[in-house]
This record gives sequence, structure tokens and C-alpha cells, in this order.
Amino acid sequence: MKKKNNRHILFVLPALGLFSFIMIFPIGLTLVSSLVEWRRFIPQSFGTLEHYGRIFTDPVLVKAFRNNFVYIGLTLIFEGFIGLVLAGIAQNMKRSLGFRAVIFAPVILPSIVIGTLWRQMYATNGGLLNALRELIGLEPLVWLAPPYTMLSVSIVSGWIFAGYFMTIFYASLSRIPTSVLESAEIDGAGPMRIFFRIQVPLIKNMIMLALLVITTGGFKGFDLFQILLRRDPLQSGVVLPTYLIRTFFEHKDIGYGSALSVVLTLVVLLTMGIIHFGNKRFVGEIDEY
Amino acid sequence: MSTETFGKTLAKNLGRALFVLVLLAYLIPIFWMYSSSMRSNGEIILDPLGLPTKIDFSNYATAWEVADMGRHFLISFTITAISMVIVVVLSTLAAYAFSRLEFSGRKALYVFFLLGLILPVQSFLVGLFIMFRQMGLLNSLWSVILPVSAIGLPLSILLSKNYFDSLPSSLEESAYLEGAGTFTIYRLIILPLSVPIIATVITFTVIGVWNEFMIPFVMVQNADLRPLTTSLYVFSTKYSANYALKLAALTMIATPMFLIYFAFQSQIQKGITAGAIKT
Repeated sequence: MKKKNNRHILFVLPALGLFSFIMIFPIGLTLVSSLVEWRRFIPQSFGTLEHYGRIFTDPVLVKAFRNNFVYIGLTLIFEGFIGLVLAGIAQNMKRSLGFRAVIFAPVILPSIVIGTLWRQMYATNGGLLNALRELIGLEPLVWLAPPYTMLSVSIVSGWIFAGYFMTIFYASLSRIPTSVLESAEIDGAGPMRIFFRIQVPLIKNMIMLALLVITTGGFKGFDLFQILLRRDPLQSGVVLPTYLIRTFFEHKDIGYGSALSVVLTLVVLLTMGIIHFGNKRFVGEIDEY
Repeated sequence: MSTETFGKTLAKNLGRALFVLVLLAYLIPIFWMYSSSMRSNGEIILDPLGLPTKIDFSNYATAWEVADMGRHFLISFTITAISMVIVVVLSTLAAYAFSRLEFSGRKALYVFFLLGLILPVQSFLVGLFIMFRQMGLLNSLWSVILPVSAIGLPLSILLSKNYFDSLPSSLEESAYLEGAGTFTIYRLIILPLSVPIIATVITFTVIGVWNEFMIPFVMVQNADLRPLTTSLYVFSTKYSANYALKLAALTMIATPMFLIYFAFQSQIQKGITAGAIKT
């Protein structure tokens, strides 16, 4: 290491400048803005808590929170659990490269491409899924409306991200020494048993990371909701991020929109804290492969 | 048959059935996108499961034209290229200082950057909008380039610093003895050795920026200046009833991405999962 010289900070300054200008300063601005009385984009007075008061009496926000929780529950299954099962299947294949490549492929596509394709597949007339349902004699469904709204969006999320979680689980599973598995096999355990009783517990840190990513991601997801549910007059699929964007950008309700972003930020950070400390308390540090 | 081997056979067949089902769940939608993109709108609505009767690219030409896709491709390309350069240069410079140089506040500044890994975009998006509006930056390419670059910095700095830490310090010692400055060492010794990590940073930055939807969605209202992602929104609004055009447009965007993906599959998977998997 070169001896101490404070001019070395010059190397950090460009990144620090951009990072502070784009991410840190605007957080402060959002906080201030949530305490301001606005008329469209013109500040009227500072020091109001009215926007935070609205949070507790807003029925749409309650719905958004409920939908967010449903979405998180469903994506834990469709992204996380299915991703884990796919990693297990790939582990037990002789050559899984092609299989894994296909399932990971949607991760690289823009959300607008996948969202538009699935909106098309869900269409009542001319949609792929209802055509397949009719083929086997089932009634067509209105997929992107209650009671199926959240389920349909979560299926698309799973279709995209199961491959992502499969890939990180597969990488962890591959690091488990074969000797561990061989001894289990000698003891006569079948592949399912070995997978769920031995391999899965050995990668529980990676599983906790996935839990963290999916749960916090569930509060941040915007694209698919916006693209799939463009017209959602009953707000059956409203979630925190879309409600925030609509409040701020469509209704030009600057103060309340800012308060909602503060709420969203706190929810995400709180969730991270809970999972992080829960993990330390109940799972503990173990060898990770 | 003992229960043990029965269980094994069951698991094997269950695995096989799942394998086929999963592959179909991925291949059918993609196949449907390609096949329907060559049919007329009427044909799709009458019989969604039908196959194209002829190889016909006229939907492609029409979609390209009505959505002015050439223009938006170019805008996306510009945004991605500039952001990529900003992220690579700024993050390797900072990571070099964090890894190799000593100065006051080094640890604190590094932790400050890591804060960026846990902040959701929504925590600064509306403040940023108010700020850009005051500065007259809305509806410009910079209103997309600056945020997507800043968002890419924390992870790029983290990964680059870890990589630089793994390079032996003996590399620079003789250069220092010969009187080389810190910037010369960064440029002539560290950077040339960092091709693998720079490739990883470029991979996730380029894919992330090219696919970005929310930031241009709020920052760029002028339809002429939209990148490809939000420009496609016209197929959800103005041309939403025309399935054939829509699917042709999607096919034109997805096909080159599939080709690049299948050519550099392991590098791309590694790049995208770099934040989660330790290397």
C-alpha cells in the first residue's frame, strides 16, 4: 500500500460526486418534499405532516400493501421454490447446460418484451393461454382481473426469475464436495431425500439471500405491474411502486407521492433488517458452499 | 421391488416429467411469439394456436416503421454506450483507491458507497425528478444516463475492489521504485490485469441499462427521445389491438439478444449473478 496522501481521494471524487448527486441528495429532497404543501410543482409552505397523516386513512394504500404481501408470497414460490427445484433437477442431470441456458434466457430480456408478450398470451381473445384451455375443454379465463390479477402477474415474475435463482442455487450446490453426497448415497438415500435433507440445508445461507432478494424485490417491482395491468380501473393489482408513481406523476400529488416513497424506502430497509437479524439469530453462520 | 428402489424410480420419473413440463413452459411462449409474428392479426384472433401459412416478414417491416424502431434503437445504443464508459471508468478509479491507496476517510467512504446496494430506486426517484425538472434536464438522454450510471456504481466498485485486493501488491512495488505515479500504475498495471472483472461489470451494466424501463418511463415524456424499452409502450397503447405488429416488434428485439446470449451464455450468467455469487 502506498503511503498516506489525502490527494488520493481524487480517484474517488468522480464516483462520489455522481453517486451523491443522483442518489443521496435526492433522498434528502424527497424527505423535504414530503413535508411541503405543494400546488402541482410549486411549493406553498413547509412543515406539514398532512401527507403522513393521509397514509393512515388511505384505503388504496391498504390495498397496495395487501397486494404486495400476496405478490411476495407467490413469488417466493414461483421464483424461489421453483428455482430451487429446477437447480435440483439440473444437479441430477448428466448435461444440464442447455436446460439451464433456456430457463435463464428470460432474465436477459427487457421487462417490456416479456410483459407485452405475456399480456398477449393472457388476452381473452386471441391469447395463447385461453386457446390452450379451450383445447382441453376448459372455460376461458379473464387472467388480468380479480381474482386472478396477482396470480397472473406473479406467474410472469416466476417465469422470468426462477432461472435466476436456479442459477445461483445451482452454483452453490455445485460447491458441495461430492464426498458428502457419496456417503449419503451409500447409506441408501434416494435423490429427493439427498436433495432436501442434505443439499438444501447446506446452502441455507444462499436460500436466505434469495429470500431477502425476493421479499425486498416484491416491494420494489414496478415494470410488470405497469406493463401487464395498464388498464386496471378497479386497482385490483395496485402495489406500492405503481401507486407511488401514479400519485406523483399522473395525479401530480407531489407531497403525498414523496411521503409514499419515504414509506416504501422504510418498508424495504425494515424488511432487510428483519431478515438479516432473523438470519443471524435463527439460522446462524455456517459453512457455505 | 423394494420401497427404496421404487422411491428412486419414482423420483427419477418425476424429475423427467418436471423437466419436460418446465422446458415446454419456456419454449411454447417463445415459439408462439415467433410463429404468430408471421401471421396476420385476423388469423391470430380467429385461431391463436395456428401456424403461419407462409414465411412472411411484412409485419416486421410495418412494426419497424410505425414504432420508428431504428431511431429508438440508436437512442438505447447511445445511452448504453455512454453509461457503460462512465460506470467502468468511475468505478475502477474509485475501487483502485479503496484497494491500493491510503487516505483519510477511506473506510467510511467505501461503506457510504455500499449504502447504494440497499437503497431502492424509489427512495430517490421522485426527489431526482424534482431536481432534474428544476435543472431543465428532463426529456434529455442525460436524465436517463446519469441515474442508470449512478445505480451501477456501488456493485461495480464492490466487485472491482474485491478483485484488485486479490492482485499481489508486489506488482506495483518496482514501478514505484522507478518513480511511477499512482495514476500511471492504475492505467498501465492494474487496468490491463483487470480484464475479467471489467468484462463482468460491462456485462451487467449493459444488460441492465439496455433493459431499464422505470427511469426513462418517468424522465422522458417526449416520445421522440424514448429509448427502445419505453418506446415499445406504443404497442400497449396506440397499437394495442394489433397483436401481429406487437409480436413482430418483440421478436425483432428479442432475436439479437437471444443470439448474443446463447453465444456468450456462461459469461452473461456469471455477469448477471455476480452480485449474489461469490467468485
